[in-house]
Amino acid sequence: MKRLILVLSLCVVLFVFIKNNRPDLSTPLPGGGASKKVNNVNSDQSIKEKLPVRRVETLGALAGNGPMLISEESDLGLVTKIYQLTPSKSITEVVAPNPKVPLLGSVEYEVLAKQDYFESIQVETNLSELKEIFEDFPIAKQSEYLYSGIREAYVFKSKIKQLRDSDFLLSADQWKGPFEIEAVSNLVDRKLKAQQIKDRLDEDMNRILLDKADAPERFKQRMVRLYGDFPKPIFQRLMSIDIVAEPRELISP
Amino acid sequence: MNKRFLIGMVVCVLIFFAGWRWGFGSPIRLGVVESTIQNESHSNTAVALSRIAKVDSELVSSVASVESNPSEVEGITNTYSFSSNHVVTRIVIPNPEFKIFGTPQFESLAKTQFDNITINSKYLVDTNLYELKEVFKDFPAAMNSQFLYSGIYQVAVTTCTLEEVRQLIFNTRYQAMRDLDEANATPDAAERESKIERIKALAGAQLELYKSIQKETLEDGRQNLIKLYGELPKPIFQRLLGIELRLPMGRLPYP
Repeated sequence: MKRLILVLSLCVVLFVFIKNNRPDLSTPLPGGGASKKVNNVNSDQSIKEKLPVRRVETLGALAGNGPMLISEESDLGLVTKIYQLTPSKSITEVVAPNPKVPLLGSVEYEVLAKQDYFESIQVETNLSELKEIFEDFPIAKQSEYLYSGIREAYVFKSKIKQLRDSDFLLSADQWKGPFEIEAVSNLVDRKLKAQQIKDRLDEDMNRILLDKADAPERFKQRMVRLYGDFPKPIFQRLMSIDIVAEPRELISP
Repeated sequence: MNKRFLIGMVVCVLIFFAGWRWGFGSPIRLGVVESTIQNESHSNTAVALSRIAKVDSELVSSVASVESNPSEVEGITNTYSFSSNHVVTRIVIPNPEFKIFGTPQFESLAKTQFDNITINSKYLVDTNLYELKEVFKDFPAAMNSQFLYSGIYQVAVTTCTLEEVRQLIFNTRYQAMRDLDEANATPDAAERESKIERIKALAGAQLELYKSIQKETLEDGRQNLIKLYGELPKPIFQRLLGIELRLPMGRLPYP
């Protein structure tokens, strides 16, 4: 009997220990889908240590069980994105930065961003809303890179709009599918065509959803690199501002 | 001894797994994959917009009849004048449950609905509803009032309506693009130019209308929240609108 009580007590202790150390599933995940961050173990700097260099976004109930995006951005601005769309298909995108565009966090970038702000606000009036929000962020306001942050937010919101429109376009263009299928006379080829169209649609949709989940994380990462911190309320406020006009590239004269 | 030990171990393992399954987890937080275009309206209005092309002929006569019998029609009538011969009238009739907005009954319905689609849901949960609730926690007037869930519901309605309007704006542009492609194929130059001008004017007017509706939706949402809480700081309102809801909260079960 004593042994039974002892065993039961040990089990309860183990139960409580594991519960307290389990990752908190009640915390909502940003951007939908499971999001996993991998720490960069090679950095010496304190900001980089808490900043993941590589981001992983997934769709589906379980991480790793569905489409996945692994994206990485180097300090020099080189972006590598690997879309794992199906178990047998992955797409790798490498975007090299324009050498004429200064790096985020440089004085040159700030100068160009400030200049662009005053020019673009004539067309995109909501830039003033973005500025108002950044001015409620003391670190940004007191730093030398206020307009760099506003510029990044402008680019980010424009990207969000682009992705949303791509989503709408994909749905709107679905009327074309049946016509493409009907154009194929052979019945067997028709089935193949239908399957191809469905696969293409699924892949395009998954890419959009993965990019939609990744874009906010990339933006937050760049903000933390710029300011050392980026509060959630500021990010939430920025998400409410709609941007219509597309930003021009900041090119050094 | 061995038998008792084994029984004890089995009981412990069963308790452990039972706790793991029901004790640890809050509802399973699955990512919500966005669906295709939602055609059903989840806004707080019961009237959908008609194309402006119909307004000049079909709707104008019904507008005249509405104006002559105002007591039979509830709601708000908004009139948009694009030119002297191009007028759009939009009649907004709030869904019936909004008649009791700001009452404990509405709050109770809103809370039940919130619980039904979150902690009591057996299916996908939009975790951003919890984000909405978190933002309200930074808003003392809401937390101290008795109408927290009414506010959450109102924000959800506003956000979903804005998303629907964005969809309508996109659809208008998309349709205009298709119509222009078709018009460009017209062989007669004069007819082609006339068609293109008409398509651009119609699309332009419709887009202006939707932008007005966006502003009205925002303002209505803001005013309703102020009605509930007496105030609404701009940062709080922005944070609430910045949270994207992937699934609408649905209509409240009010007869």
